Amino acid sequence: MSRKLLTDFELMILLAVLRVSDAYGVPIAREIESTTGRSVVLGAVYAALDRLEERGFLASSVGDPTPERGGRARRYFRVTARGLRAVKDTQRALVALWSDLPELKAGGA
Amino acid sequence: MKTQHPSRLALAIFDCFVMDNEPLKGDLIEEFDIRRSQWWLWRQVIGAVVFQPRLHSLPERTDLVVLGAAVLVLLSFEAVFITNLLHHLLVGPPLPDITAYLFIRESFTAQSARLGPPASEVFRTALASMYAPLIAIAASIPTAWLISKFHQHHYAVSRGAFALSVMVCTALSLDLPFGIQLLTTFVFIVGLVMSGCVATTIDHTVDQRSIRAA
Repeated sequence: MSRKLLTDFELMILLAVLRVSDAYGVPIAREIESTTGRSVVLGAVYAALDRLEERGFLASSVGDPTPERGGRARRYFRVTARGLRAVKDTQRALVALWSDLPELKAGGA
Repeated sequence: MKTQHPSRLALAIFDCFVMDNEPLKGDLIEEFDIRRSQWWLWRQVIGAVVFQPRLHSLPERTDLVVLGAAVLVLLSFEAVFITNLLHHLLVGPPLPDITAYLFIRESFTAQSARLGPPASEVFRTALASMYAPLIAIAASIPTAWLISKFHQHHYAVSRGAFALSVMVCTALSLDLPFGIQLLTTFVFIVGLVMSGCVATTIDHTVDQRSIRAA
């Protein structure tokens, strides 16, 4: 099990990358916004993506430039095997913390 | 597709303060074009500046410290030079090794003598007030250009160091009205930022051309 678990935002980023087919900044941010109801700043998304790539949880590749983007290329991301392990470890830890909480059971206060 | 264009000022600020993130800029343009507002774009640009990746390695931090110190020394020198120049213009004898200044001083003294005491006082202050922003611009432009060329990956920190150094200029300004001190400081900062942005834009253009040629 990895010693360092993911922060909530990093976890959201990795899950969004897993959920979308062509994962670059815009659809990743949209996926987070639509599922969490939380507005995100693209700069923060890219900062997290860079951090996760440095840690080996993501790999990126650059696409072709397009005129809609002012001649700039997209940077696509995919989760690596190491990143997938980190997601599963974090999930296990969170599920363990969430389980058997009387306050969260049905009818609890 | 929208007919409204993304704010050029916002994108220029992005180019100045965000290092090497063309995909992010492309995302902003793409998203703006589909469904977003100028307000959204500005929020994203400010966020991009704030959420830049942090520096982790010691050599980069050392580099920044050296850069900051060099900027302070350079601008302190300029501040002392500007202050001495203005002080001698208003009160003291001319600096012997600046022949251009001697020409200005002689012309200024002759004008003052013709006007008489109260008017000459106003004339001296007006002349110094006119020169102060011009000297600030002349000092800020090459400084910002040089620093931007040498430290292409530390835009925001470089400009932050310049802004702090400008306080030295303001503090050392003598015998000028407070409003002129503020104006000089403002002009100095504007000169630094504008010059740095021009240097950045030229660097990006050269890089793009190199990539295309390769």
